[in-house]
Amino acid sequence: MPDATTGLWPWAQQMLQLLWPATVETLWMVLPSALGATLLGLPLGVLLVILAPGQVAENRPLHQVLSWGVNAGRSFPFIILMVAVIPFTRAVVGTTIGTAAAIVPLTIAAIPFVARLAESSLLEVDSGLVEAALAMGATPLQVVRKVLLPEALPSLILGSTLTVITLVGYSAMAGAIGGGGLGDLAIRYGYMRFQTDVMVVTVVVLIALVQVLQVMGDGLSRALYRRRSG
Amino acid sequence: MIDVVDVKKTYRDGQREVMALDGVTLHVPRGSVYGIVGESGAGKSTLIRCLNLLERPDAGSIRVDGVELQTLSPAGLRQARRKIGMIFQHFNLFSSRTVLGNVTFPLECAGVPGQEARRRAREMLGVVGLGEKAEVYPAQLSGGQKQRVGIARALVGEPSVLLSDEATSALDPVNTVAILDLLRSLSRQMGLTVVLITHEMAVVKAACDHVALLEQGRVVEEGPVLDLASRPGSRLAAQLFHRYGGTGAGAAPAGAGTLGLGARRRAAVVFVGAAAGEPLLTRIARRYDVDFNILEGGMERLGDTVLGRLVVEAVGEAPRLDQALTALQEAGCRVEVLDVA
Repeated sequence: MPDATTGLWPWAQQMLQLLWPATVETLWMVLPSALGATLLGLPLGVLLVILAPGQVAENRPLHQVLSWGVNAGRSFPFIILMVAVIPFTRAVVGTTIGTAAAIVPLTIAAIPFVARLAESSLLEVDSGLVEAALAMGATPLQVVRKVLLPEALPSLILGSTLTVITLVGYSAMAGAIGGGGLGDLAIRYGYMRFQTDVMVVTVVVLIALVQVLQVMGDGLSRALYRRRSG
Repeated sequence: MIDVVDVKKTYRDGQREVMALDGVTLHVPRGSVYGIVGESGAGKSTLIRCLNLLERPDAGSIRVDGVELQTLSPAGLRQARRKIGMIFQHFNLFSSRTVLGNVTFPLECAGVPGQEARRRAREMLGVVGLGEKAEVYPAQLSGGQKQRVGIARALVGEPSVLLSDEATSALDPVNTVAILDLLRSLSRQMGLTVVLITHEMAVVKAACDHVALLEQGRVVEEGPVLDLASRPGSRLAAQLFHRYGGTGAGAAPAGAGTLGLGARRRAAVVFVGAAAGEPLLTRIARRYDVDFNILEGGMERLGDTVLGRLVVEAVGEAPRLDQALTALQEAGCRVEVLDVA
C-alpha cells in the first residue's frame, strides 16, 4: 500500500517494474503454446470428426484410439503433466526451468483441449453441406479444407480464444518450474510475502488481460459472422 | 439414362430393421423429367440418394449413363458424381462462400483453374437469373434465390443428370412454380435428365412427364403422366387429377333423368393436346344422334400439355351410344365408361 514515506508515484513505479516483465512472460508462455497447440490440436480435432462413424473417412478403430488418447491427455492434472514431461522438455529446449521450458508442457496440455473444442465446432457444421460437397465430387480432403474448416471458422476462433484464456490460467502453475509470469508473481509476492497490494494488482491485470483477449476473439468471430449474414 | 434394378436397402434402428427400399426397379428415359412421389417414409429420399451413391444399397444395380456406380473406385465415383448434379430441400449452400464461390465449388473440386471457373460460374448465374448477386453471401438471398444458386451450382459442371431432393418443399407457391419452370426449361435446353422426389402431386403435374409412386419401399405404379390420365383404377391418376365419379358425379345429378328415354352411358373422356381444340363432342353427337350431358369437366395443365377431362352422360339408343364412344376414342380421346344404364 502507498504510505506517507513512499508516496503514490514511487509505489506505482515499483508495481510497474514487477508487473511489466511478468505480463510479458505470461504472454510469451501463452501465445506460442496456444499457437503450437492449435497447429497440433486442430488436425487432431479434424481427425476426430472425419474418422467418426458415418463421416467422410470413417475408421472406427482409429477413431476409438484417438478419442481415448485425447481423453487421457485431458485428464492429466497440469502440475503432474509438467513434471512428467521434464525429460521431453529438456530434449526440446535444452533446459527444464524458465519461461521457454514452460511452453512445452503448456502446449502439450492444450493439444487435447484444442482437439475437443475443434471437434465440437466442426460437428456444428450442417451435415447437409458435407453431403452436398460429396455429391459434387469433392474428395475427403476437399471436404475438410473447403467446407468443414471455413464453415466452422467463426466457432473455431471462439475456441481459440477459450484456449488462450485457459492457458493464461495454466501458466500460473508454470511458476513452479521457474516459468515466471503473472500467476507466479501473485503467488510469490502476494501469497508468500504477504504483499496483498501486489496480489490485488496482479489479479486486476489478469482480469484485464482475459477481458482484452475475450473481446478480441469475440470481435473477430462476430466480424466473420456479420460478413456472411450481410 | 438411369436404370435401377431390384435395389434394396435396410436400416438398423436399434433392434429393429427398417426396409427402406424393397426391390425398386425403375427406368428413367434420357431427357425426361421423372417424378418419384410417395408419403414420408416411403423411401423416396433413400432412393434418390442411391442414384449418386450418397447411400449405398445392400443389393441391386444402379446404372447411370451406362455406368454401374457400385463398381467404381472412389476416384471413379467422384468423376461420375461430377456428371450428376443435385439440389436439396434446404439448399445446402456454403455460408462461408459468396454466391459465386458456391457456384465455382464443383469446378474447384474438379481442378478447373480459378479464372475459368469464375467465368463459367458467372455465365451459369446469368442463366438462372442471378447475374447481379454473384458477390453477396447466401444468407442475404430469399428462398427462391437460394434454390437458383443451388441449381446453378448443380449444373455448372454440365452434368447429364439432375437429382432434386424435395427442392421446392421449402418454397412458397410462387417460387415453387418459378423453380419448376426453370428446371423444365433447363432440362430442355441442356438435354438434362431430371429425377425429382416430392410429396406434392402439384409438382408432378407442373413439371414431370414420367412419374412413379413409391410405397413402403416399392414402386407400386409407374408410367408417363399422360398415360396415367386414362388408366383405369390408377391410384396416381386419382391423386393427380380431380377424381370423377366421386361425390359430384357418383350420385346422378338432379335432372339427369330428364334427357328423355333411351340408354345411358356415363363416361370420363380425356382430351389430350390437339383433340382438346376441336368441337368433337358436338360433331359426334350430330353424327350418331346421341345427346351428351356434361356432368363435370375441367382443363388440366400437365407440364406443357393441356389436358381436358369431362364426365359426360350420353343418352340415346344403346348401339349408337357405343358407336359414339368408340368414335370419340378413335378421334384421339381416352374414354373410360363409368356407368352403364
